[in-house]
Amino acid sequence: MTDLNLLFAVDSEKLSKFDTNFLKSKEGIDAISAGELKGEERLFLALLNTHLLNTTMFLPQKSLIKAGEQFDEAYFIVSGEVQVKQGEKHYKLGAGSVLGLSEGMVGLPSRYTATTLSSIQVKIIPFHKVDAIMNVLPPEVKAILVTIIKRNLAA
Amino acid sequence: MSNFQIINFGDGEYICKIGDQATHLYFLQQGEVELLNGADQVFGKIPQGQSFGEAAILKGGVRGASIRAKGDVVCKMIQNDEAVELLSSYSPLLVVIMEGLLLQQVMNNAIKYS
Repeated sequence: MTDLNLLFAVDSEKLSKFDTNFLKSKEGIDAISAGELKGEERLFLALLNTHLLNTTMFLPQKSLIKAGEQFDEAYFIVSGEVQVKQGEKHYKLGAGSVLGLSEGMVGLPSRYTATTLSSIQVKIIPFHKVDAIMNVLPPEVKAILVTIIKRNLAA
Repeated sequence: MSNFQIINFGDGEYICKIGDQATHLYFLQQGEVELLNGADQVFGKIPQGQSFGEAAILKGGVRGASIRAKGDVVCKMIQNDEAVELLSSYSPLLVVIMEGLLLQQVMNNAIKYS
């Protein structure tokens, strides 16, 4: 089980040591400008430090998302790893991974099953809150989100 | 939507080049644009009604591809800080959603090219 390839993860241990206001601090802005922080690291820190999402823990072997089923919330992995099974493809995803957001925003069932391999900490993005916002957006703003969703679904 | 500037590009005109600082996000109001790699070869197209340059949301990011107008193009353009402000004006959670989508995109690319 643990010999699966880890296809995506940020160094959550390193990034968690940054102050919660790091991205807005002079030090953080300088680090971004100097290219010392990768895009995924900046995004991880932003999502890690938001107070708008609830955080929860899951024990190992918890099924988060099942292939073919619709789901009510997406997950941002703060720490820990999940196993993903998509057809014949099996792999691991770690901290910084976002599960189900694009699919759930357009009401599609999951193309993969994601199961926790370790105890994991996640932030939850509930679709009822996402839908409430999407419904009031003007076309140009909605198009920006839809463009990224389409790219994610095509991947 | 007053934060958006309307900008026109002629056929063959570069809207941005690979490696440029990503300072603006674009909404393609009219026409079509081509995506080009470092060797200036076309590898994709973006049709009318879609956006491009979302990396601008990642302050300090650079363009991963060049973008060139194919025919006459009309874009709505917004500077990165203003884009974040605009999203935030609808709901602070919208910025979080955008960041989540962009992170999912980075993750998907890592999976795809692994």
